[in-house]
Amino acid sequence: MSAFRFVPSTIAAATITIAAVTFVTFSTNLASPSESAAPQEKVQPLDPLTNEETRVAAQVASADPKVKAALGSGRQRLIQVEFFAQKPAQAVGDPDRLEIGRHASVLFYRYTGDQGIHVVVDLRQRAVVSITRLEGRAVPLGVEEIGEAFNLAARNERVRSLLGSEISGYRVANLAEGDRPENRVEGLRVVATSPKDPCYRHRCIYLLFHSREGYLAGTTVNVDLTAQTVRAERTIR
Amino acid sequence: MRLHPQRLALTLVCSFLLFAAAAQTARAQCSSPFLIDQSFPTSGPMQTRWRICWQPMAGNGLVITAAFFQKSPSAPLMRVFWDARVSEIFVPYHTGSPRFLDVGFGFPLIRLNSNDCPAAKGGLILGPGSEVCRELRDRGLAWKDDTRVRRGEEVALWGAIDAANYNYVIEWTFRDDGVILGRVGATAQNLPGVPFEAHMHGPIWRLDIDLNGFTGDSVHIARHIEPSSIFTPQRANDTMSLVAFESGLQWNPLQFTALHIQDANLRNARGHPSAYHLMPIRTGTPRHMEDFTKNDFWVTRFNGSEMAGASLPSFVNFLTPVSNTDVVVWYYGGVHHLVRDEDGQIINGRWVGEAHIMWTGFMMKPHNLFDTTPLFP
Repeated sequence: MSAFRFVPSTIAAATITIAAVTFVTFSTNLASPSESAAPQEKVQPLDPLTNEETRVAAQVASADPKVKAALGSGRQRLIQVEFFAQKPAQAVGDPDRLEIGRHASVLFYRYTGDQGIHVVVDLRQRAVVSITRLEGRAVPLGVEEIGEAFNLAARNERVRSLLGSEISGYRVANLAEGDRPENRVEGLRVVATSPKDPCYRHRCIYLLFHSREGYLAGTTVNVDLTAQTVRAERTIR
Repeated sequence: MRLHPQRLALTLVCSFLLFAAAAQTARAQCSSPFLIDQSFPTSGPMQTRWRICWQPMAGNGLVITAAFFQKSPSAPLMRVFWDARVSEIFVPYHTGSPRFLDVGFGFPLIRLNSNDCPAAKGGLILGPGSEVCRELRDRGLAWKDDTRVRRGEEVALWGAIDAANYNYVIEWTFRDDGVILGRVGATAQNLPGVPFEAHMHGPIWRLDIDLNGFTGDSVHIARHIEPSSIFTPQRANDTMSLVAFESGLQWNPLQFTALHIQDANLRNARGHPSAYHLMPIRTGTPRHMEDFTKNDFWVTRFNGSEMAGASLPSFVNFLTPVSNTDVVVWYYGGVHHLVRDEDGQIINGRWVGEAHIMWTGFMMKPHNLFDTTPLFP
């Protein structure tokens, strides 16, 4: 007697199981953006942006008409492009099946009105998802701004008298790129709370000068990028 | 009941296929080296487990982009963080100027070496720029009862922000008992322009806590009240009030103030609502003229564009409900740096010396998450 019979319950169980396997496998592929339309294969939804994704995000945001309108015609600059984990419209029970996609946050600063423009870019669709205005304080300083600040400081008579001929030997450090020359200029971001402070609602940088012997002590140099002014003083004699 | 070999074989094959498909879905949403999947104990059968995704980010340093906890081998992974980061470090000097926003400059993490993160101490350097140290640590006693004892373990991730003259160590620790610790350590060289001036380092953490998923979360503020005199009722009380709308809240050392974050649908097997308690670990309270320093805790509804701690007051709308929704909790702490000779000195116009590391942080402790004592025989 045959030990195997295609009784209805067996067929039903097998059919359900195969259907479930097919569904799970298929839906896994659908829910896996890294395997379909993501800019680079093997990039998982929560991995850092690739260089290419960073470039695409900046390009998409900069070209968007609504972003251009928000930035206006005054002085402005791109500050940073960062990874952004966009929350899906609906929650699901299984954390591994959550559709996150690939997004980037692009941050611009406009000097007029001391405003930030925060743009979320969908990297798979190559489209802008949202644009939000932020107060200027919420926008970090960009690496280029420290270069601009140093150029202003280097032309300032007071700074030149405090630092002497040494000033021409300094170079702006790009710490993010691992660039740490011995004679380097670094910067810190200054915030002003009082409207009487010249840096109130301005982009201000405090410059530090570092040489082989260490940081130059007892001298402060403040650069106001909004007003394009420099204040320098000797604090220790 | 008869066993049919072919039917059994078919069932086994189908079960295997189903298991294989399920296993495929159970992968993490980040890849090595940004994935930490750590089971505890580190030797022997697994009892608890953390699965964490992290990223280095300019300014914020080391950001946790997802954290899941598994409280037992049979329990599902439960989301705790959608995102956790240091959103700002405010550094006002005592004379009133300068006042720095140290995250607001986009400083990177420093490349680490084996002196930072020795393998012999459980260290492993991670990241494309070797900027993060993962340490597996014995954390001392988990519990002790006469001669019975259990030592605990933890996995810590840290990186150091190169904030010009200063370094900020950003550390996230995930313990085998479900506890999370967030710390910032300030170290390196005093500000060269005013190296002898006292100042404060005030980190503001942005904690996007999505307990059991990102919907249905609520926050309560918990206070402990002792009788204030012999004429009042002699019973101490622990109160809990719902934070109904976006707001800032203050920590009171006499009341052991803490925030309780819970999910509407999350209960343990005993039917008790599960929560995480956010508890400060601090030596004082930094208050300054800036509005964002006027509170120690803030609760806001999730908004992906709201990341900067120094803009917190502009994020708060006192009419926006934050009950049973997707919440973000912010915590503000402080290190008071009284300059001391041990920090260093000026030699030939240059600063020579290093301020030893000073820490501030918080603990997030599970409450009624487990069904009974974890790490218990």
